[in-house]
Amino acid sequence: MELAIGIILGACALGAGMAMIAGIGPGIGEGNAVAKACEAIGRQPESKSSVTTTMLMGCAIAETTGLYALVIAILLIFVAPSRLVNILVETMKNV
Amino acid sequence: MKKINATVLRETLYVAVGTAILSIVLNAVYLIIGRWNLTVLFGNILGAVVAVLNFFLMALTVQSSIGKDEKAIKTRVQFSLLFRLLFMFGVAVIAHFIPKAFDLIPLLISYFFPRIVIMCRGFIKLPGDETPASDAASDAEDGADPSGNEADDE
Repeated sequence: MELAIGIILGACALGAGMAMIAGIGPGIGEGNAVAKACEAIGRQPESKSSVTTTMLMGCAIAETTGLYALVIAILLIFVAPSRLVNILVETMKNV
Repeated sequence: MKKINATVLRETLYVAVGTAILSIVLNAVYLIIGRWNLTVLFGNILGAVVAVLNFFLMALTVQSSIGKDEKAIKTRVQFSLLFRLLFMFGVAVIAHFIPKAFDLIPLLISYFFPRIVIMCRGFIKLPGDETPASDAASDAEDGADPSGNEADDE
């Protein structure tokens, strides 16, 4: 029983860590997008406002992938272990 | 301290208003399914505030990046994202350890509200969605340098 609980907790922690790998992509993508947008503003300063608006929207959307990963990690750390252990205990009672 | 760009303020305001509307919808849904209590409301408010603050900080990072070289911009944005994710994680941890005050699920749902608002933003024409011709005028109102290079006074 203790071993099973340990495996559940370990797997949840490992899963949360692996989920956060998805946080790398938005960082790289957002950095590239902002760098290119700044380049565009440098070339066409008169369109600064519209480029900034589009850039903000793009960054916010790109960041969502990182947020999904963060939320999955939080759920795996705080919510999943207790639920899974409860399921395990219920199953053991029924056996 | 650097002046906040009018575009940044305008977009943050739109996101904040949209997030507030979606928060009302979330509370209404919880009320309908009969699971509403004060922890849901507090969790939702905390999540919505953090989500809007996250958007605002991202916008400030983008604004302050203008005029810098490409490598510096990439590093700055990546560090900004890292710290903002850590901040959001920290808030979720606090909410988890105070279950009598905050419900974690509405808090996590609220993190996605700005994304939904921005998605809907594509279908709605709002005041301030300017053409490039009127951009120069708004820049002049901001007192911004027309070359796009802002003085770094950090």
